[in-house]
Amino acid sequence: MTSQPQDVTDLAVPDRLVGPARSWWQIVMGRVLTPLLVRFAAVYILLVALTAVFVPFLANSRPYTIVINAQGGRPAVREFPLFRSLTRLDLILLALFAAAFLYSLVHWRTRRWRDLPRRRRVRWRWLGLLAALAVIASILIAILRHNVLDVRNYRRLVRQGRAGDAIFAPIRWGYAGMEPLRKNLINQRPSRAHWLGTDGDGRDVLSRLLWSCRIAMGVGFVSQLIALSIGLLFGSLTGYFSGLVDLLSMRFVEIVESIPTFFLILTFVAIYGRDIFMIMVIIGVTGWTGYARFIRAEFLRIRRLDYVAAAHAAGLPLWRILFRHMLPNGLTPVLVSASFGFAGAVSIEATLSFLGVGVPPPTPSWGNMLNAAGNPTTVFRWWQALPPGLLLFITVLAFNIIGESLRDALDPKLAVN
Amino acid sequence: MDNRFTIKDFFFTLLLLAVISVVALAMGQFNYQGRKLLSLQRQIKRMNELQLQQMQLLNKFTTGSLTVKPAANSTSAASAQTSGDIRETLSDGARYVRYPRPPLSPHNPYSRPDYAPGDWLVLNLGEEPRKIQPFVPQDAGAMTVQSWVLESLLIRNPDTLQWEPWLAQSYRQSANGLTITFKLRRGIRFSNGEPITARDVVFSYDTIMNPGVDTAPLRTYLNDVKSCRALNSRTVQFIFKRPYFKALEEVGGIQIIPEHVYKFTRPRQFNEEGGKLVGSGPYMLDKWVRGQEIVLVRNPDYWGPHPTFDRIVYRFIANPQAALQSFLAGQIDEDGPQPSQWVRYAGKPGFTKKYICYKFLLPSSGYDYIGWNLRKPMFKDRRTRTALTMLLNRNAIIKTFLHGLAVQVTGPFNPLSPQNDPHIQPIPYNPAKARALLRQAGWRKNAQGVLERNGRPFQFKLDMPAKDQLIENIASYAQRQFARAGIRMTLEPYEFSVLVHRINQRKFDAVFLGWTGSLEGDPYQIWDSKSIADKGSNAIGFDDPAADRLIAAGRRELNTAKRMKIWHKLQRIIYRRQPYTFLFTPYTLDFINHRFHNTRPYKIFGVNEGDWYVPLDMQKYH
Amino acid sequence: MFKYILRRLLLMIPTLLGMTLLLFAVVRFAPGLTTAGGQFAAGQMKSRQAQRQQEQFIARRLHLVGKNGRPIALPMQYLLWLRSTCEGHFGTSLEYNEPVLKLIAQRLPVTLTYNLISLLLVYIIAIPGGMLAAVKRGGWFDRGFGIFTLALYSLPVILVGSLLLGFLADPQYLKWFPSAGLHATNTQNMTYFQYLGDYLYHITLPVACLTYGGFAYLVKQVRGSMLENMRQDFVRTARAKGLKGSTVLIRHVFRNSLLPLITISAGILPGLLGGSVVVEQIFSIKGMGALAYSATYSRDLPVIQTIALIGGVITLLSYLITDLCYTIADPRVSYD
Repeated sequence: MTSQPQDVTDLAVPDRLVGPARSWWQIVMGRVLTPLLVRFAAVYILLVALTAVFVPFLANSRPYTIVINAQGGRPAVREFPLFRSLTRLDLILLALFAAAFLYSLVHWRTRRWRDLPRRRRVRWRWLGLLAALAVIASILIAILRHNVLDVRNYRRLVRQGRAGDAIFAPIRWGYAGMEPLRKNLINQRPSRAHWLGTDGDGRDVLSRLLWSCRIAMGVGFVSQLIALSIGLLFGSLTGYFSGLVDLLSMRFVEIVESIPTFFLILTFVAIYGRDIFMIMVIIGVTGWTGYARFIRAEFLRIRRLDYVAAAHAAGLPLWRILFRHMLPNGLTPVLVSASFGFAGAVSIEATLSFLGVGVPPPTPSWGNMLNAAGNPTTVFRWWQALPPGLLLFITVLAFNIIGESLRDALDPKLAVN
Repeated sequence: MDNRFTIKDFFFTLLLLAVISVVALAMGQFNYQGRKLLSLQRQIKRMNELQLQQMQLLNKFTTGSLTVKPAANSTSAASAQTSGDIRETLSDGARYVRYPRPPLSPHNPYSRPDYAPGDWLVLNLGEEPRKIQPFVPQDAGAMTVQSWVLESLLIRNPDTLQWEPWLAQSYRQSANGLTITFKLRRGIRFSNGEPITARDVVFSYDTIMNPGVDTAPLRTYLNDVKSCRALNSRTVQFIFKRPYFKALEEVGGIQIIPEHVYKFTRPRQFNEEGGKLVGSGPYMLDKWVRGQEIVLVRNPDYWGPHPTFDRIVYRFIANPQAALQSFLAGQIDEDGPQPSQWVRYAGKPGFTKKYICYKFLLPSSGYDYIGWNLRKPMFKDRRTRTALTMLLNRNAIIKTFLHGLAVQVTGPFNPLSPQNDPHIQPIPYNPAKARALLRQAGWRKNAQGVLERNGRPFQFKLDMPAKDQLIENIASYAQRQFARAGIRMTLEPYEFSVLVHRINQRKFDAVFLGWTGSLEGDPYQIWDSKSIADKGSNAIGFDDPAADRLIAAGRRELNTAKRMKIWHKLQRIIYRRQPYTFLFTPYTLDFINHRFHNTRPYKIFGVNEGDWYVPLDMQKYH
Repeated sequence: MFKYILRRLLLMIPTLLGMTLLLFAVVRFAPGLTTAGGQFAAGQMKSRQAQRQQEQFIARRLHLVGKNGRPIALPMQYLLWLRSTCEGHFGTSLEYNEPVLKLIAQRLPVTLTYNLISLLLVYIIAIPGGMLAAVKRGGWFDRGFGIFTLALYSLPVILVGSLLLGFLADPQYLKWFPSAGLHATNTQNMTYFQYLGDYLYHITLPVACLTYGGFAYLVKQVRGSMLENMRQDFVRTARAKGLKGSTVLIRHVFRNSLLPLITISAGILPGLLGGSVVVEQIFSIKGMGALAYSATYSRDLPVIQTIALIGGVITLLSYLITDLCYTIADPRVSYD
């Protein structure tokens, strides 16, 4: 009689069920992330997002560090050109990333806490703190930082022996850096100097490819954020009030929906300009109707639930009922639509750039790179067309895969055993 | 249950669909055949008419009422001597020019031993014209089509560049240049058989000048005309308010349209009409199948030299790749390739044996430039602007982006035009000197590596037309070059109408644009300080009293040699002040199907399809 | 039923009014409104007087100023535009100088024809595909097929179009297909069937571009709706009755899944405009998409407004038709 069970419950409940408490959200995520393909997609998107943030460190013509040799009485100095020439946007992105990273650390550390209310409180507190910090940091950067114009040709300095001890980024070309204007240097095929060749201006295709991740992710993220906030506001108000408000606002949603979206975007871009931020706003402003419909449907459902009535009875203010109590419960289906929306925004931006009305040059985008490779005024260069096209395709696919599996997980009716 | 959509219903629907589509196909075929039949009938009718005319001609011939013109088998200079052409200055100082017979073009094919009329000429128009209506259209395609149908009083000799009487038999320009009197030829007719009278000339002029008619761009050239009168049925007199060197060209170049066809009561009627084109030219508009082709047919009773081709067909292939493919497949007879296509094909012996390749400069192809808004403090200094020009390697731009198929320009005049002073050399590419100039102008690098003067950094926006790969490439290159010198330039592509709006509002820092050219352009529109105000074309605000004086003098000067001297001086001033960074003017490239003969281009005018012919054994269409 | 339709139609009126207001607002606040029109060929500019006259002309045409040249108030502009639109005058294109309706009448058949062909193709290949996926659900085939359709659905048209054009219609690689347009240039010497064959040859690539996305979408719908029906009680009953599997599948499951699929087509139609903009741009086809694109690009306001309006009306009608189809098809859905 060696190991006697000490308690009956030990016998009855297998070990993994008593583990840390799992929120419904965690269960959903677990179910979503099981298939291998979805994990691949998530990792891929994470990689693209990381590239978007860290691309200045991956593809840059300036070295991390370099020693400029003594010349004409000046002593040799060690410089850090890459860090010195980080732009405002680079720094803001890094700040935002740092905040996100710290929060995910907090999230990770608290994942085993059993006291759910406390866990939620701590997480919210950290989230608020970090978000505030990130916003303050961004504002400070925007005010204090001046972009530096540094076009010294460090590669040549090193080649000529006027500088040494340099550590370059893995790709020694920025997105706008050009080879000298010579015929054999533009439109090169892939070679050792340029792994994916050069484009019609003698710029490194690989570098531009990586820099375009920033445009794609930025457009997807900002536009969906805008769309989501408009949709949330509209949908929640409509869903909660119903009646006349509902009738009127649904007419409005119908109006916006009935005009062909792509055509509307084209018109907007033609009329109001093609700045990258403008394009984000335009895609956001024309793409919120789906969210509004979703949220409205959810709110119509939730409104009838008892806890809302209880909140009413407790005399809570309206905004609190709407956004603290109802919204979190109505949010999950919206994530499905956000995932598809992200894919849609990425592909709309690429299409606009492909048609020549997207981001202005020399900003690279997968769309305008694809256009430059297959423009009818030039010959078709597949080695320029394939990389941006495939990257665009895989990105859209990854978001669709995630959206699909989210939907399957959330919709028990569709979950085929 | 009986209300349900069953599987039988499904197949029944399919069957129904199949039947419908078969019926649709059959209807389509009937329609197609019907159209074919109609066009056949039309052709037969025309052939009958032609036969009738032939009979009549034969009758006249045999009865002796018609004499055969002597074959024009000499060059224009020789024929000028034999045919009694007069170009002289009268005793009162007026110029008098009289050609008893219409001048044949210098490369005319009629005397070639293997000359044969017939065959078709199938050309590509690129974009389909928006509409075809005399004076109204602004697109190049419609103008090209109309040039076969409409004729003017004078015609420019492509070799000597002189204006020679065409519909007019003679003209007389008074000594002060203010009065020009044209006398029409006898026996000239519109393609519908009606004679051309002085009234038609006046009507054409009045139509252009009618403020309700949508011809504003043409109108501005004729603003100096005081009056236009028909003195009798064959004589028209134009009187000008002030002497102008282009006076003869502007009134002599008016296309003459028949009053009895185009007469209108409300100007709107004239604007919105379209698809009807009647003139006196060698070809007539036969049909315009939207989205497919425009067909011109020979004017059977043309008053002038016999037109060569039975038909001229214009197709609309805007995509350059597709156009070249159609050309190679023999579906079109002429193609203007892109520079990249030219270098790929024109050098290959297999290709040059099969096709005729020409490369030439045209005055009308204009030039590209970057204009600096002189109102902005940063561009006020001449040295700064010169430095900006020096930073751009225009030779390398031409070599890499245009495959060497363009020529640098040094000023606003086309290198081919006599207006251009060939002694002026382009400003050389010299970044080191440019930096020195910028330093002289007071620019110093600040902590961010950007040039700065009086605490203001050297940064600006370049407005440029969107969707043009070439312009985008050049602008990106310029951005890079300027950055190397510490100048921050951002690129702002706009769709064209917005760009024009911004230019009109003078809202830009710098602008990338092109001007179209002409053999002798009038610099007033672009360079005179009076064109700055109120949305004039002098958008950059170029204001130079010396230049203004030269422009005024040049416009008044009727003596060509003296005028050219004035233009050369003007060019030097503009060159020195560098308000634009002048870039290049591109070559015109041309591939022609080998069955055509006599395609040799004129030195300045380029190819003239009217001179081409196909020897009888090589003719393709009948 | 009749009452329902009537109510829906009445509800459409305010929607339409709102749409016109929205369109009007979007377009009217454009900077440089009167500089519209394609009269400016690229690189050329007109003289000063010409420009001013042109602008006045456009201003009159857009009801910005009255006949006397005095500016009209904004609400009045809207009302004037609305009135002429209701009367069926959609205005005259600034770029083509022709009535907008005439332009659309020229372009619409072109786009509609190849779109309908592609729609037909989509249905023909998607229905068996979806049925197969539904029958073999849960297995490797289903999973692979699911990924395949998802990938197809995610493939951007710009990539597919560029690659098809670059590899299959370029003498550099394979010159199997023509690279632009809908007809060869020498159609007049063809018999009708040659003409038809030539047309089909030309639309192969564009239709391929339009079809694969629709196919992927519809296959999913077919599979989903089949599966939904397979779980129904009547299927179990049928099986219990001892009917053959294929009979159950075709006579019971498929039949019930069919109608929702047909109603989808009403929803697909309005979306075709957006798709054809890209396809027509890549393959140089002169259809509605190209017209819409060039109109936005050259600010041909009457054309922009009319196309958007027509697109909107078609969309609203297709919603209505979809709903009606459901009411007719499914007695369980009631609208009171």
